[in-house]
Amino acid sequence: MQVRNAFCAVILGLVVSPGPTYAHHSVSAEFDLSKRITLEGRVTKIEWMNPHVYLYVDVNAEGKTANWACETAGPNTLARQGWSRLSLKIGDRVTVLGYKARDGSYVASAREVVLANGRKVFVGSPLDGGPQS
Amino acid sequence: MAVLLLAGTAIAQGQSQQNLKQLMRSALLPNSNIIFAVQSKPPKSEKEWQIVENAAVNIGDAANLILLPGRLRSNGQPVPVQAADYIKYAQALVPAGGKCLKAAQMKNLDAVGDCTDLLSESCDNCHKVYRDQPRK
Repeated sequence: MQVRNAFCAVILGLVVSPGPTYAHHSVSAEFDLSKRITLEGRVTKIEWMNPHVYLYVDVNAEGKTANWACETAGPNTLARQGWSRLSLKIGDRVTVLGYKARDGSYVASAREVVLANGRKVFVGSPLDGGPQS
Repeated sequence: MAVLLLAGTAIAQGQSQQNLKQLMRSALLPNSNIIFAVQSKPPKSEKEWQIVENAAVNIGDAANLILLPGRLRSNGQPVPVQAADYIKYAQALVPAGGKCLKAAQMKNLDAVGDCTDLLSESCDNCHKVYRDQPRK
């Protein structure tokens, strides 16, 4: 039975991805709302999926480059806020305003994204209890 | 002994033992996460797809669980199982689970992506009204 349970756990692990949370959670459970950060860099990847869209941004600081995963609201919520798959593309320079992950990883809850043309877009969810700006 | 008797009475009446937060964390959260994870890490085998199917079944059935009378919220207040909007939000899990189940049975990644829209919306709509504000 233990072997079977271990096997099931492995299978489940294959299905449930690690990385950023990729899951439903309250914003304050994963992110420290007292630690506001500003990230400036270029977009390296966009994962357009539920329940959160992720923007990956290369950020240079102190001579090192870190690839930050910036969590936003889900696709439907972003669409209602005037944001679509075409709003951003790989290589775009952006500024992300948000909050750091509690675990110290390079993951942030993005609340606003400032595009290269200066347009600022709210990308948080109005439903998650997090800051609305 | 009194506690056991009370618990036995609750079980006999079909009442719930876990509070709503415990149920969310033990049933809805892990099962919805299994479905959401398909978008970034598609199942590669029959067994992995079966896990997704099982998760979808559990999501649909969770509507009944969160509508059971007698359950408390984590703040000690009763779950508002008589409230029309709460019932509507809970019942939205049934079509969401059903759509995800069909998608998983077809092993169709696009269809799973579509069903996550419905699933995510049903979660968000209820959380907007009934989830306590997070700690700051």
